[in-house]
Amino acid sequence: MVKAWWLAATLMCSLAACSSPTQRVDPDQDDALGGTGIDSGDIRATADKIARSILAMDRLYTRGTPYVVVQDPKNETRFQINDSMIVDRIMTLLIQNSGGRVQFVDRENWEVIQRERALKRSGAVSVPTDAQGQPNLAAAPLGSDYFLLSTLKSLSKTNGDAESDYIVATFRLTDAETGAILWQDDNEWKKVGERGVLYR
Amino acid sequence: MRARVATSLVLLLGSAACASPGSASAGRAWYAGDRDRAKSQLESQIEDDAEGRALYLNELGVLALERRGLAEALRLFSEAAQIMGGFGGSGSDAVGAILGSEASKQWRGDPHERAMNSYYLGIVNLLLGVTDNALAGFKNAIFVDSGQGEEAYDCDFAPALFLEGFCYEQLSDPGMAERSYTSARNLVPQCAAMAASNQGNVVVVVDVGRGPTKINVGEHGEQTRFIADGSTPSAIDVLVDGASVGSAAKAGDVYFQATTRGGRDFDSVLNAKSAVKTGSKVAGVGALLVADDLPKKYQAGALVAGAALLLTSFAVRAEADTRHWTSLPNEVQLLRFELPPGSHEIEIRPSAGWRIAGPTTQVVVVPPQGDVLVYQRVLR
Repeated sequence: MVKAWWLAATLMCSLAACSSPTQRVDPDQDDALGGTGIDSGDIRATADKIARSILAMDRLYTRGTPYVVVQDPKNETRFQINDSMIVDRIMTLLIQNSGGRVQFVDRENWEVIQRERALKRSGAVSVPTDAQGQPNLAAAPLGSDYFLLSTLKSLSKTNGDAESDYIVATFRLTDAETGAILWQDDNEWKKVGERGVLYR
Repeated sequence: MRARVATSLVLLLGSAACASPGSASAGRAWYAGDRDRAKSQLESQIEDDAEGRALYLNELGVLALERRGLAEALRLFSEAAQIMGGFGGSGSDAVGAILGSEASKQWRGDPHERAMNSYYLGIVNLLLGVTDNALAGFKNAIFVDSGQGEEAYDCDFAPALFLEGFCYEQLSDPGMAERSYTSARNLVPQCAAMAASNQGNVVVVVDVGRGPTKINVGEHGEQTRFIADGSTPSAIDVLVDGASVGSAAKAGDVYFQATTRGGRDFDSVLNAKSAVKTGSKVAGVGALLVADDLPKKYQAGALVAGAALLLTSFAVRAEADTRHWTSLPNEVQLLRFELPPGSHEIEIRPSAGWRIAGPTTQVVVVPPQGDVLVYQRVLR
């Protein structure tokens, strides 16, 4: 009888509590929430594959250090995402691992850069100097050799209870002068899921 | 010891039966014009009722959109979308919904509510100028509406199709835009905003009235029905810089979306619970009635069995979950027209007896290239 009481009490507590403490989880692993949307693991795997592919492409470096402007991806899926997360991650991996072989041009902060240039040239703020003690002022902001462009596309199916989503994240480096496509690669994944009977 | 076991089991059933309260009270306050009370109620509920979180987030999202807190609305609708899009359910959810009230499970909304969440993500993203995520919103609204019940794998919510076309147009994909516009036009050919000849650069979206209300029906409330509010203003005029440019016309019916979803798998669980509830009540009353006629040595047993059956009948909660998104509109109306580039003041003016829930006038800047979207909510 004591066992029965404890069993009932444990069941009651587990139902009444209905929560678990916050825990850290591996961002490469799928979480228990389910759904066929884009997860952290998809973003990390995509960024890793694309960064490696860019680093392994010798043609990119034949004319010296390439200067790249990154554009936010076009999201053509049915999922709301902050799509700049993927390209931010790719940039981080390349900056961390390329040893300066690839340079990125910051266009997100164009107005801040323009304002700072104007302040330096007006004398409102000091001008940094180079190793010879000369004013270190670039003649113009950097132009780019390549654009890193990307698109997320999906093929989605449902019968009301179950869903499937095939997603392709495509990346390309386009010559900023000629429009020629120097390189293209992608990462793809497919997820299927079904709602539990409680939600059907 | 037996008493302790009995107490535990009663508490167990009680905890499983605890139903999430829903947002009906806050909805009533909002429709009565008391936005602040509705907001404070919802903010309090979201703290106390984890299972209803997505519902309260959606209701708060509508309130944020009303006062054009677009970043906040986006955050609220996005978090709700994450919850509503989940597949899994916890064990306690299942035990609670089967042993107790269905309303004890996490609220993830009906298909029309999931579609409307995506529709609002589309509207908010368009107002924020994030066109590709707006497109994702309308695409998902179409996706969720497809494959439901009688709809045979085709979306029939024309506003989502039309606005998907609008997004494609802004993203310079005229082929895809025309495909979406054509699908919308085929559903609502009488809506002038969708006419092929209408290439206006301003689209006005008006969410009108009060959406469907979900109620219990059946002997033990094991079924649900939607009640339509049904009322709409006789006309919703659009004025630009003080002059009328036309009236919005109906493009989508949210009540129709709610009522064409077909049955649910969980309905069979509720029907079984209803049968158990009825059966145990009849058997319990029967056992008590025959107890007197039984030989004395069986009377106590019959009384205990009868009482236990009646208790079971009282304890079984067969009523279906009627929590629903109260601040949805009754219908969506559209108007599309041409304006010269530059700044314009737009006013949406419903007929007498109706009011605007949002800014009375909106200033829009029409670009030399591309289109603009104006959103408004109209309430009685």
